[in-house]
Amino acid sequence: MDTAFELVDVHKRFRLANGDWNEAIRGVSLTVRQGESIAVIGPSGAGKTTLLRLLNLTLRPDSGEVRINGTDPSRVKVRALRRLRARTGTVYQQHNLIPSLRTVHNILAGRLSSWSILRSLHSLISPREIGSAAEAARKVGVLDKLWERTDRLSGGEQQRVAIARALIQNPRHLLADEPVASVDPSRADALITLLRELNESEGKTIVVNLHDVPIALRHFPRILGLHAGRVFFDLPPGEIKADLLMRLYEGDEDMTEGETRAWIDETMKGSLAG
Amino acid sequence: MSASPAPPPRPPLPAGRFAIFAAASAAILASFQYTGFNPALLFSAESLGAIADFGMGFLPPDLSPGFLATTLEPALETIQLATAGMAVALLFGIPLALMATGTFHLGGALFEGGTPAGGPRRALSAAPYWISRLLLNGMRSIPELIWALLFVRLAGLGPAAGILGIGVAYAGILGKVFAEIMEGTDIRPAAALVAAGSTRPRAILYGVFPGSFRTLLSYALYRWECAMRAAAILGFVGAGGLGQQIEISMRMFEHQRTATLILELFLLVTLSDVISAHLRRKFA
Ligand SMILES: Nc1ncnc2c1ncn2[C@@H]1O[C@H](COP(=O)(O)OP(=O)(O)OP(=O)(O)O)[C@@H](O)[C@H]1O
Ligand SMILES: [Mg+2]
Repeated sequence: MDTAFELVDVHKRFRLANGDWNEAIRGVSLTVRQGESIAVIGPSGAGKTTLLRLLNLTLRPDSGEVRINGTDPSRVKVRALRRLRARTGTVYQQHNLIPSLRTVHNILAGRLSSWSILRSLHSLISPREIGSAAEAARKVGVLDKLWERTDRLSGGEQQRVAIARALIQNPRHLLADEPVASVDPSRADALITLLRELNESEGKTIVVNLHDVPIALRHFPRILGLHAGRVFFDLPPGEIKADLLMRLYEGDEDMTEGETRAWIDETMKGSLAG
Repeated sequence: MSASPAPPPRPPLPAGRFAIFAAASAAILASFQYTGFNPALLFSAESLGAIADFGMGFLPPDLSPGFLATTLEPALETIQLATAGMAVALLFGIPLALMATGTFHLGGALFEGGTPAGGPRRALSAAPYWISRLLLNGMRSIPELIWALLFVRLAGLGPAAGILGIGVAYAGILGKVFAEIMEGTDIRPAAALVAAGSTRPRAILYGVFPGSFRTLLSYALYRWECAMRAAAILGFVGAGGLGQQIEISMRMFEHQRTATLILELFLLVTLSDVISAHLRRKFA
């Protein structure tokens, strides 16, 4: 079967304000097959967002290799790179929507890679392909907000607009960074189910960063645990025990050890093996 | 309760912020010293009297219908000069602004070809930025009056020289300010569009323009108002319009007519202010 993403010993570090370096990804190797769906979990600062940005080609690795469908993006020309990028849709943690545009335009922005500049301009004045925008909006449940300015929407609604924008792009691969962080629990389940359906019915590869561990374990056949920039485990949900989770979230700045233990016990009830 | 841990040390401030502030204050004081300008001078009894005498000469403004009729055409000319000058300024200023916006060319957020890692490719990608900055500085460093005098040599006396003079000088100003307005807009939405396979122009059209449009518009309208004043000054060197009439009436010591013409200029500026407020509300 085709590989969608391939990472070989990838390192990525950032310069901090005090001049030091922070190595966010420390030697990650990973193969994601076309049509697979993966949830990435791990404590805050583990490098989940950085990993996603390496996959959608907004970051270049300092060393190691990244390949999309077998292609090394650093070796292709601009046009080919653009086509490569159009294959992957991304839902960002901060949404990265255009606040002053109406919802319909933010969704249609997912079509820009296949529109000419004139068509793009025309659509800003009088929206093109409203039908497909409305369909994407309906799928994520923001149809009634289609003509609102995006910055007037609630956080959860904006998050769903960001998902609709990625859907309308019709990408082969879908990356989502905490796509349900700002929606309520029942909506969260429905949205993840939507992503999983796209994966199952249309064969789209999906990689989703989640801090909601029960949702990750319930919906995804493959769970990647990221810790301090390294792959800590890469397992099916059935093999993930409370102890492993305990160690994954060890040293999380937000919680003491006892709190972590209590949190895992509390949230894992029924959704964990053993 | 456990003692809270010491906060991490604060990274050093960018060097010399205080020094820059102190140097700027010193420079302002030194400027007054150097020009020998003494604010107290304005308010001495003697000069207040002189100001009053001179001011009375302008009253009342000459509002005779005969004279007002003759000022109509010059007033229109001034509007035309300003508007055509602005059109030229926008024509050159907008493309230059796009080239001079740092976030579009530096730092790599919008690079379709990925973040240029460094070396010659990175240097090349920054070339439009530096070239346009240089051009804009050149256009701006020469005032519109001097540009107009240069264009008089090329295009002869008349409005064309005035339009080009305003056009070139204002393109330099618009290009710089537009670039800075766009630089102040969050680049991440546009970067997200590039990441999804869009080209840079399309990403800027959707990701940057809508968010900065209102500020760009309001600044352009303000510049149109400034162009009105500039057009009046250019009238002094033969570009026509209200400026030329003011120059003539002053030379003839017809102060009451001068007053009327200045009033008309005030009305034009107010008019552009009203139009600008209206348009900004429309695009809110
Ligand atoms: N652009 C950047 N500049 C400097 N440091 C960065 C940058 N991006 C990420 N980092 C650092 O890299 C580390 C990993 O960040 P990343 O955003 O990938 O974490 P994360 O796992 O997504 O966390 P969270 O769950 O809180 O979203 C963090 O320590 C972060 O401070
Ligand atoms: Mg993150």
